[in-house]
Amino acid sequence: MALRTVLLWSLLVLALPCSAWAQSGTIRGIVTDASDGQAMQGVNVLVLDGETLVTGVASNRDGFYTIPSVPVGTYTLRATFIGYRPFEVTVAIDAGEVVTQAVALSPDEALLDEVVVEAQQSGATRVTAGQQTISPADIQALPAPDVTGDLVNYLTTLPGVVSTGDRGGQLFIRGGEPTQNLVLLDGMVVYQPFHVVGFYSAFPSDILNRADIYAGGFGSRYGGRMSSVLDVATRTGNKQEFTGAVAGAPFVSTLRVEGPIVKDRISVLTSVRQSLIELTADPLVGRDLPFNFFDTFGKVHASLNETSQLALTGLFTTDRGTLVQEGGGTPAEEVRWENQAIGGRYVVLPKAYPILAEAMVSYSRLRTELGPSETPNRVSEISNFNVETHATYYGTNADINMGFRMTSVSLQNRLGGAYQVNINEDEFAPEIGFYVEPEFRLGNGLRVRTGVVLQHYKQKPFPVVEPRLRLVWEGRGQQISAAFGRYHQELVGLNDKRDAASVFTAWTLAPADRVPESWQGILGYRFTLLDGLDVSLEGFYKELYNLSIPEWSAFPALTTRIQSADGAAYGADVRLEVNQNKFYGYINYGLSNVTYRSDQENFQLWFDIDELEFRPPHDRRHQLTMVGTYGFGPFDASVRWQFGAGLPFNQALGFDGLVVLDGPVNVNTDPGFRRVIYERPYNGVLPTYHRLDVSVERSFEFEYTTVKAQAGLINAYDRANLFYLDVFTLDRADQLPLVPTFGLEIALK
Amino acid sequence: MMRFRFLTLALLCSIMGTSLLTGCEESVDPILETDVPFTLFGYLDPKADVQSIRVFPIESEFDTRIERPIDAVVTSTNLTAGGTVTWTGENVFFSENGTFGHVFSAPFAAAYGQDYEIEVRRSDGATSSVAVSVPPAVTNVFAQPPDQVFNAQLPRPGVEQDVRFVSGFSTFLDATLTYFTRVKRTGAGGNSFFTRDTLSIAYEERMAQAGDGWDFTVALSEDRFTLAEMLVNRQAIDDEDDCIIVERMRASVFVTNDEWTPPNGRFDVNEIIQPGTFSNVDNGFGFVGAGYTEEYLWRTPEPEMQLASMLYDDIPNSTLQWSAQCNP
Repeated sequence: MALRTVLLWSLLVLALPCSAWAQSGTIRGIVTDASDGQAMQGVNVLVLDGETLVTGVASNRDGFYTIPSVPVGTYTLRATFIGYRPFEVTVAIDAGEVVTQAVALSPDEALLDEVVVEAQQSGATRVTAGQQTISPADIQALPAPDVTGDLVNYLTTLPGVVSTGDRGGQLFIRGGEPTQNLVLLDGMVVYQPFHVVGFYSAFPSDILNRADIYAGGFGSRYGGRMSSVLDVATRTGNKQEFTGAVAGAPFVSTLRVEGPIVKDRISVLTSVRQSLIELTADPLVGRDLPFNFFDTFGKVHASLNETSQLALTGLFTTDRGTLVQEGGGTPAEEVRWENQAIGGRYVVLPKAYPILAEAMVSYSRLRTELGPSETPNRVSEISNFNVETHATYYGTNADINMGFRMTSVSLQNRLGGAYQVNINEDEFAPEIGFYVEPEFRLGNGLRVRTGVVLQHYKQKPFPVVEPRLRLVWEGRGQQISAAFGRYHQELVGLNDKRDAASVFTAWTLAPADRVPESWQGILGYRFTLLDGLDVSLEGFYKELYNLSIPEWSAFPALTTRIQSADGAAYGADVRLEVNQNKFYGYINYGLSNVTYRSDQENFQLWFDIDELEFRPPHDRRHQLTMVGTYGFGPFDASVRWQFGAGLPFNQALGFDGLVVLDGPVNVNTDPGFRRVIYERPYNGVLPTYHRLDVSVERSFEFEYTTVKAQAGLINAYDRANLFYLDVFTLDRADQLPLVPTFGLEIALK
Repeated sequence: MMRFRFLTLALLCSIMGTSLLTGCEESVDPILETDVPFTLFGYLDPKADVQSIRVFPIESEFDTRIERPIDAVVTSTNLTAGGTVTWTGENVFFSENGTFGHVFSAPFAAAYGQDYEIEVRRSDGATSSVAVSVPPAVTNVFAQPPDQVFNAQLPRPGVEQDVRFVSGFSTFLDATLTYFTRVKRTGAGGNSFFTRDTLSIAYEERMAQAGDGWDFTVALSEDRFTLAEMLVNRQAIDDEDDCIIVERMRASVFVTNDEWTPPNGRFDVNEIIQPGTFSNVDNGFGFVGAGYTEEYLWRTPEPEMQLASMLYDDIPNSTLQWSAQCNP
């Protein structure tokens, strides 16, 4: 309670110069869809004096709107959204009064089809200083192995995102590593949300409201990571009636159920998916594809009153992939991981103040195993308990965001296996952060959001200060945006350098006072080249310090002994988006260059150099994605072609051994050590990655149901793209071969 | 509209061009392979009747838990006196870690002060070789008279004694002083008995070049504390002031040739793991040295031993005498 009071008073003190709110009032409330009670984002809520516009705002991701500094008087409050009938109500404002007005928009059946196209605020070129909003409609435009879409299928088309392909579940964003991505689901951290089959994640499109991806340059609200943020917001369940869908395809089966627990007030949304590819691969493609995943999601959302909401969200996922099949008395080599996340989020518009406040509590856990199922060789586990609060004050020309977060992280590593020195370690790391982030609307389409984060890390002797800046100018069909910031990350993920496409990550703490740090800047320009052809250009530069990388050694073993490295990542994205009649498509090209510089003390002895510069294993220099959808008659056809330049890997010269001759050693009894002879780190380059996917889809409308059927080809020209290669044992696993797919979804109306 | 179509066409053409340029290469060679054929580890020992070296073929197979033959012929040539010997290979199983390895041996004694070349040849002619100089023999070892030294850390004057190794060798490893001790213990029934312990102390730091050789400076008084600590840790004595009987002492030095020197003066496995580091093999990796162990057994005169709070084993075992002798 004391914290809340301090928070509110702090906000007010900060906000006073921005607004003369004592001579005016505030109108705020929540915008919902009257048909199902869903909160609506991006709805224009205007204050009109007659037909003269006084002021207005757009509703936020929770559907809340707050219009500050409304002069004393009586007005018309009008809310409009394409595809919905306008909502109007008369509102009287007294000095200092805060009026709460709920807005419920009813769909206009005659215009509903337009909503899909016109109302989308997302799109391939709609990038603002690294930030892009992804809607379920964007995801549905892509060919997929089944009729339901998945967020990761879209993410992998982005020019700055390097994936391990259709298996493996790792994303590298603009030179960062997978463990440097902060992935949030309704505010909860999800450590490894991407499934072992790369088309799928814990985020099926039919539970999504929206996803914001920040490929760097993210704001002060986010901390503890230094590459990117994927902030996924799920929708709420239908508050009017029970509905659902069931879908089946050779890859996956899906069940979604939602409905009101208390009509108009409390809803539930659940989703369950189980992969089937392990069962269907042999009859479908004539070979085993031993991959299995499962995820289940549940959300209970309560509209407590007109000014507050409470949501409880839970997620559970499991993944299992066989890297090396059982044989010759040797058990199968598997990688397995399991995510758990549960959290609660409370959002409120306090009665007396023009602010929006939210509080969150969550617990997340990831356990990863590598090796035989009963006796894994390597186990890594990370979990956290997180408490955070955020508040936003809405002023006339400025909003002020501020917040506080406290996280306790636990880490466990059990690393063993052949040629591996056993490592057992347990660590605990509390993190505490506070931020203030005012956003100024300076007129003429110019917005500036400045911010500063004060963050305490266990491995730093003093709290660190992280300045952040985002700047956007919009006008005349163009947008110029820029972002800048300083970021730290105490938790680091280590991979085994022996794996050409590493699938096991050991989470550990950065060494004391060597917490990884990044300074990064982004500059973007977006414009319409021709009617229906939008272009986005964006460049980025990241300076990286104190990166924690596995110690370079000829010992053939995964180690948590880490070395510090600095580095730099830079590149540019070019995006072209075409929207012409029945054709929609885009081309994304990403140019990237990532180099690490390590000054491991042995380098002087080994290579006669002080510092070794090398390409890390995720340095994909060129990436191209082409997506097209075309509607002909009742059908929608989609095609996607992806190309990625080869990734660096550790190419060995061969293997020998070492006997430590530190005295009269008997070579007849001393086995010595096995050793790998490398030329230089990451001196080899894997083959290029490319793949073509196509699909055709059609919907059938019935009285109570909509049936959607889909057929397609994954990897249409059967490219053998590498997924996993152990350079020691030469065990290789490829990504998916040519797979014909078909799917059916039956959804209740 | 024409511009739009032109742009779209140009884009599609560029994509098609990129597709063609990407090629169809799907295979990956994780092992580059190298012309360097072998890695060798071992040393020539003039005091041994049989010489042995470990030979690792540089190969693309990682797993050594499977027994595999080796394509290698090992010969050694005495570059000083002439003569070539062909060595015999054996596939050895190392039970410690369940792996196999190749050890080649030859039944001869390396000659002091002479040079050898060991050559390991593959059937395709690829050869790794190493030239090895055997260090000269230690011609004499003797103990100098003990000295009293004054050290602020000792409660009373301490005792040191130099053991001189006379030779022209310039490098060594593993200098060790070994004390053969007895201590008195009391059994469950109150009966006293004696137990023997062999205690070794690293002495590399106490070797110094002097005169015609190296002095191995034995610090008896300081060692008394070290021995007591070791015996307490072994639970051989209860108190560090308990009596320690020394039966005899042995100074041993592993004399090596000049090349047998680790980088930065230490055998840090994390440093020497890198191929090419601490290596003297031509067209190969690894290290082959030459060396032998020289030992010297002696007893320091009794008065100095008593001054160092240690006794000899010819003291009678009676409790009264024991107590008196132990606390002079």
